[in-house]
Amino acid sequence: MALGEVVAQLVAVRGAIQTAMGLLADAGSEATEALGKAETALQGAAHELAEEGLSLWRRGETEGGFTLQKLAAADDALADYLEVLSPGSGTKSTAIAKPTGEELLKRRRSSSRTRNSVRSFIEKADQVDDAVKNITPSRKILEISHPDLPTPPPYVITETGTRGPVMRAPDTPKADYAQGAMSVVILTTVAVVTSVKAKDIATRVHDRWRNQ
Amino acid sequence: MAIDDVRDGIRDAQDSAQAAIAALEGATKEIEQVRPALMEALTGATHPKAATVEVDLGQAVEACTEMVQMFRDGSAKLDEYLTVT
Repeated sequence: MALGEVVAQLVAVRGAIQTAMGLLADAGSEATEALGKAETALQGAAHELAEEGLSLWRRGETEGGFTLQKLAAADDALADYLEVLSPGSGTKSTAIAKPTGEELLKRRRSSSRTRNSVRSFIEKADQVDDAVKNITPSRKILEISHPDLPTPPPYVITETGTRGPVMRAPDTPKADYAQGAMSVVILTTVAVVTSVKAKDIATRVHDRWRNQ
Repeated sequence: MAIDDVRDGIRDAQDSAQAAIAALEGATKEIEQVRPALMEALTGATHPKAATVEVDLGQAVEACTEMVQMFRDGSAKLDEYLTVT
């Protein structure tokens, strides 16, 4: 999977986590309300079944805090990882507040917009692939004019952990200087076209994400 | 408090608990929907932050499921209480 696709998918996952956090906060608020109403209604009733029911609801309410912490931790970790993959793409949310009904609806719409952005991002990534493929005709011309031109090895895109994709050619066979120079020109062209396009797309997607 | 008031109060509380369950199920669904994409995106990732994400999300989903069960069981106990009183 290309780095751009990984970043886009992780950004979409963060969107879902944040929506879930909003829903969880809402659930916590409803649970508190349920407990308050039940405790008022059951005031003075020292019945075992009533106590068991209330006790279960209290445990559920307490569990909400733990769950919210786990989601916040996952979101933070993803933000950190995104910063490593693509600096600037892992902006952290500073506070988690209980959303109103309107805010939740807005988040739903925003979540839908995120999915559209991701889809658009993947389409752009496909365009990069097409751009790389378009280099093939140029190579055909070179093959006609230079019949001895060696076949370039397949490209491998790897993640280094701190930088973007690195184009690496495994075990290139040794050629003479003229052929070697020609291969270097082709490889450099592919690397430059890909990295410039990828950076441009990542910047645009990131800007679009921040503007939503 | 009259028994009818107690009954109404508990029914009202159960409605709120049901709303909490719906919100929790929504939260679980949000996470479950993106988990395959997350697994795919993190395949081969060796960064320590990447490793913790799946664990945290898994625990969150598990906790949500437990909470839903607790609210359902609590409502059932209150139903039983209303039956016997």
